[in-house]
Amino acid sequence: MRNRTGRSIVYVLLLLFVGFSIFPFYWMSVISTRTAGEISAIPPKVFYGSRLAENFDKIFNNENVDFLRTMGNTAIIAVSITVSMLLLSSLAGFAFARLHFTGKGFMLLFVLGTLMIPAQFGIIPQYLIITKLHWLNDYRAVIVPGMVSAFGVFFMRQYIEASVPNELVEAGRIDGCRNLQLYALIAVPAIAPAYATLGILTFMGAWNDYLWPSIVMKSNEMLTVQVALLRLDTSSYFQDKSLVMAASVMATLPLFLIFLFFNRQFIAGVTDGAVKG
Amino acid sequence: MERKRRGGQAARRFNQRISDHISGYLYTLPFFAIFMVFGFYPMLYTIYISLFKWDMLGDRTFVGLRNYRLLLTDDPLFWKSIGNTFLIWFESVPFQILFAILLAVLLNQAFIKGKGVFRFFIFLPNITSLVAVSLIFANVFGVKYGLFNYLLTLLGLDRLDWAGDSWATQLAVAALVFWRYLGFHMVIQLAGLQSIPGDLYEAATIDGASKGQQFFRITIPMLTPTIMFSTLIATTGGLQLFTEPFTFMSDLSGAVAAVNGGTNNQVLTVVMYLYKTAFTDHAFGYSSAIANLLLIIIVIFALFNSLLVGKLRR
Repeated sequence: MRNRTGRSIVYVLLLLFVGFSIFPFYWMSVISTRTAGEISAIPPKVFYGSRLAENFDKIFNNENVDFLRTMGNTAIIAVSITVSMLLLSSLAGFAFARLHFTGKGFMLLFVLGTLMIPAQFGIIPQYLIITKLHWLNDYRAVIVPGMVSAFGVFFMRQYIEASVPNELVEAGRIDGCRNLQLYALIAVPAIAPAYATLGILTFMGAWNDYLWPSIVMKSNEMLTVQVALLRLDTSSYFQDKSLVMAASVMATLPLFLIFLFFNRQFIAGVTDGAVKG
Repeated sequence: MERKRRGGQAARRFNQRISDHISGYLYTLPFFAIFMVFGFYPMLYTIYISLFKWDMLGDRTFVGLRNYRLLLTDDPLFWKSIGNTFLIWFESVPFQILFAILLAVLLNQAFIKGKGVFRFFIFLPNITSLVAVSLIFANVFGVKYGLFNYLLTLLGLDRLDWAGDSWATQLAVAALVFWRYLGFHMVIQLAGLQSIPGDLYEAATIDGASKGQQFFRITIPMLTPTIMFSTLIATTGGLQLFTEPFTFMSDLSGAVAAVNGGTNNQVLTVVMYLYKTAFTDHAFGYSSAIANLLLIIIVIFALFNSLLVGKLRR
């Protein structure tokens, strides 16, 4: 009996935390179905309203931003960064794990050393470089700096080290494979889970990034969705939070779907560094 | 015949070594090229321009360490931003890690069904758009029509000014940080728990140790490296806090107040101050000095943490 109460308490506690975790999402979705007037009513309306379509219409025909375009911009940026990150990180990771070349040890140490530097550290010179390159308001301003990272290279190296046996690479060599073939035919198929993990982490990071895009993507057509969320209702004479929330739902939906499909890989990727590192 | 083959092998090995070199440099080149332009050069340049007074339009004037002196001795706003950053850290991270351990232990119980479902939902806040999340929190903590203030009035209490009262704003941002990263740390702690060998508990049970003793004598010591990892991630992340307070403030009190971290600068964090000095005040030299100090703080924390982990592992 005591055991049973103990178990119930554990379940209740867990459920409480689930409620705590999902409540803000629920609240976001509720507000997105209401009007500005309804959300500033006392007592607050806690169930779904009927204005979702109307809010979406206001988002898509917005006077401040072309929201669909900002979603498209973000998708272009996030997909380009992800594809390039996977390709370039795995290539470099393969070289570090399975090829022998002078200075490799030092170069790898360099990659490791840069892992600790915070992202915003060089933000002023980065901005000046983008200005000099005339890349302001250009996809390249966000894509190119994000194309490959020390984390990606190191992550791939560790994975290839662990899951692509040296003997297999040597066997490939005896069969006459060149290095690029070894990479494409032996390494790439063996590291599919690493691709999934790094791909999701990268896509989410790129989709959610706010600070850097807000600095280099100033013009209205080039905004990313995160920046657009803050601009949706700025020039109206009254603020309509319901439409901002409806837009937030849209900005969150792609991430939610990806997480739904890949949550196992995603969580494995998050924990890899903690327990094995 | 034999010699010829050996000669062929040697030649092939030599060719292999050359092509390994070429491939090695070629495959790592994209990383190093991009890193040099957008990582390493900016790093050196940030150190360099922190020695200048420079507003982008005018000339650069070499001022030596004056920016640092000003920051450290004559800029209350800088110290305020450091204080805010640590205050928000202190209001969120210890609880976050404590609750993450608690949740991980609960979820690690053998009898729990639907572990994956619980884990999915508790982790969910971590994947969402930071801006969207900050906007939701701004809504929940709205001064006039916010849900939280409504609940306070139901309880017969006064409404709180989440945009104006310093401690209230900080608490709201801390709550947001707590909410967003709780699941992340729970997942890390869960992985840590699962890496503790089960026979330790079996042996302890045979020796008559109670559940509580097992928790404090086995679980916590074995979990310490994972806890330290969580703390490191939360601390370096917390020191770089920007989007959460910025978005929260801009939704509650507008863009101008957001840049200043609120009317009393109550949630102005170090990175927000860096952003403000660079992109609002155009004081690039000064801003670079802030960036350098931030980096030093982060490196000190990381080193301290790894030292501590090294000590505890022994």
